[in-house]
Amino acid sequence: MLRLATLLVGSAEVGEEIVQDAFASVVERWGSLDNPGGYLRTCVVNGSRMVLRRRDVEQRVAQERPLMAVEQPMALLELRDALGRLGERQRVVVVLRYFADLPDVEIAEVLGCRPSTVRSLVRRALRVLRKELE
Amino acid sequence: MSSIEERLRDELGELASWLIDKRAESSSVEQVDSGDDSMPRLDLGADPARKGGHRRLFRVAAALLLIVGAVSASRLLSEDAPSVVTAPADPADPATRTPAASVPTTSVSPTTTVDDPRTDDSYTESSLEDLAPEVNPEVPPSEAFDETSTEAEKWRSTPWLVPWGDGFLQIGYLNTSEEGPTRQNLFAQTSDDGLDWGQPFQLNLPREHFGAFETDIELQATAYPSIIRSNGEHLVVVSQWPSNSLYSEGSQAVFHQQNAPASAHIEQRVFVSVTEDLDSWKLYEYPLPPPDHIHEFLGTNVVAQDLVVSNEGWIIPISTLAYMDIGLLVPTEIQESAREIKWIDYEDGEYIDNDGLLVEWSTADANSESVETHRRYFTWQELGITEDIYLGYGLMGNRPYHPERRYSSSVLVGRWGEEAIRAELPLQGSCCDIVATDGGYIGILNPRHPGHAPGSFPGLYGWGSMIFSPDGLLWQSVNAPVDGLFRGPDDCDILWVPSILAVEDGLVMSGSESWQYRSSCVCSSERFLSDLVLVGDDRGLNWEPQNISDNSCHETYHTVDSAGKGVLIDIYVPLDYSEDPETWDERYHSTVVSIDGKNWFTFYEETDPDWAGVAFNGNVAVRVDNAGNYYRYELP
Repeated sequence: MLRLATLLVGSAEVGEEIVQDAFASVVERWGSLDNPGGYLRTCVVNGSRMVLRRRDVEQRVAQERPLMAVEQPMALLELRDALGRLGERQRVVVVLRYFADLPDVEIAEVLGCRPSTVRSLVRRALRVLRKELE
Repeated sequence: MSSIEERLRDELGELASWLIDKRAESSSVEQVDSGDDSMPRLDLGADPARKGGHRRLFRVAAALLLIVGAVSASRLLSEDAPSVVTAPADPADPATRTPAASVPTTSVSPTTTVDDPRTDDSYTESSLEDLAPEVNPEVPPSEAFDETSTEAEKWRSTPWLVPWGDGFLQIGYLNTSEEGPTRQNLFAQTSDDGLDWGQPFQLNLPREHFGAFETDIELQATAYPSIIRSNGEHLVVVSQWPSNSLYSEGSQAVFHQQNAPASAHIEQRVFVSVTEDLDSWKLYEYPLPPPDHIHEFLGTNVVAQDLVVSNEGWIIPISTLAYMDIGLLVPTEIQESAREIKWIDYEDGEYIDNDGLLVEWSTADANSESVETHRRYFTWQELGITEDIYLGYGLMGNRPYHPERRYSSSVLVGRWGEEAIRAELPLQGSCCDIVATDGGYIGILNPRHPGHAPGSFPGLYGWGSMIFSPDGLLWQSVNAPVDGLFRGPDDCDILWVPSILAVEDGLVMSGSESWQYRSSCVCSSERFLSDLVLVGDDRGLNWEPQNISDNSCHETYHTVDSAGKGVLIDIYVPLDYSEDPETWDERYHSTVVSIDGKNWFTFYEETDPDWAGVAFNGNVAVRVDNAGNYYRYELP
């Protein structure tokens, strides 16, 4: 979950916060959840989306946390930056599909949309990423 | 798979690990630099060990989110996601007529997404009081329809189209907010040919119908869900109160109300309004008590799933999900004194086990208004939960998973002009798609429980369940047409979620969703429409694959009501990932296909088409797009 949140918001620090909040929410209703894992994942995605909507927060955190003595592989930086140029929903579908390996039906359930909408978002995201990365 | 997709699959995990490693190293460096372990640092990424002390804070935050989440999430979405939709000027469309005032039109896409699973649990005692039905015998005067208003544009963007007489009827909600909270009213307009429309007028449904919903829509953070169907002679509007998930798709439904306080257990009711002339209405109101076999200690979530209109009358499939409600289980004195009751605590570990669970409740001092929190461990025996109940209803949620006893399905069956009768269905699982045929009614079990992906729990879904009734009241299970009803025939591990449609000579069943999407499967030459279509008789007993000679790639399939003519609508996205993205045509290509495989017409949308905006009447199909443009198609 931490890796998922980190990819979604582009920051491991913020990702930690999101995941912990998500766990807290799951704990709140543990006994009534039919699918705690799925609920947790949805909470992580939703928490990440909220952060993405407040991009200024994300950017501020990034500025406050300059890299220190950590090697910066250019390809990964390039990928991170390209992900950052995606819209919020596009970024979610890309990470859920190509990192979490979720089928479109599950992604649609997380986002509350139709699977075909997921595929549309993926196509548009791939177009952006292709421009950025190729 | 394209190179960019391969790179994403290869490098996203690496990127995540690198970002986390970077974070860890960065923290380590800072701690060394600080030289003072006693001073906490401003750190958004708090240390998990330190974070443990803030669990209570998180619980409070989560509770607040429960309360405000629905409204704020909806507002966030609605504010974030306006879309400008321009009417397509597609020469392929045989006929197009556009209202002068609306091209191009800026419209806000209807938002049905609730982006947080917590938001549906937002019922509070106070909000329920606000939502209490207010029955007003006075029918309000019709409100004027201002063609140029923004609300009118929204009205056009979220319509229902249904057949009416020999023509068509378009219905939508119009928001009004004069002197008070925003309210919604149904407005409608009629057309003989689907192109020329009359002046919109308000549908004066019985006040009692919408009396239950006459409240600030922003309080509910969503439009009132209704289901509207017509057989051309009768128009039926169904609503449910409290506003439950009429369309229980998506991850939200399974969490719906499951943590609602005991005070939220207002009996669900469904309202059915019927008219034959769009002026005089007959209202039917039915409580939806849970079935008798649901244990009295369990709460239930009852959902009117759909509405089927036939020549004989109407049918509403209803699903009931039972869940544990600690507010009903604890002793009466606690129920009466508690402001809030929780049934878990995670402070020092998991307090739900095979012996019982820890209950936390709060009481308020009437004098000081201070809140006092109490905790007590109850054994299952104390709570009246026997092993049979405990295991049979899956109160632990995750073990055993989804016991069938938690679900039950029924139907409300109403003949025209008569009161309805409720009948149980021989289905175990969330109910179900029902269609009316000349031979009776056929229902197929919805193979996907809301919020749960079937691929994750294949044993839960099993093979198809199908039921038949000659009259809507007496139902029996019938064999599914093929063993692999829900599983596609190709090697892409497609889960075939069927949709069913009544046609002139029987039934058409087709796959509507592909379970596992992989690029290599999208345009596989092995996957044709013909693989996913079965045609059966009107009792659902005999089925045969339909050979539709269409050897193109199809992404998803969708059947819609077509006035019994047997139409498959195919969302067709011929996207080739190997081509330059600049050449991609990203519009949704929707092809309407007759059952013998002839393409009747194709239309294009920038967004996922809304099938409620397509109606058939005789040999004419009419469509309205998101911008309020009308299209008419003559069928062969």
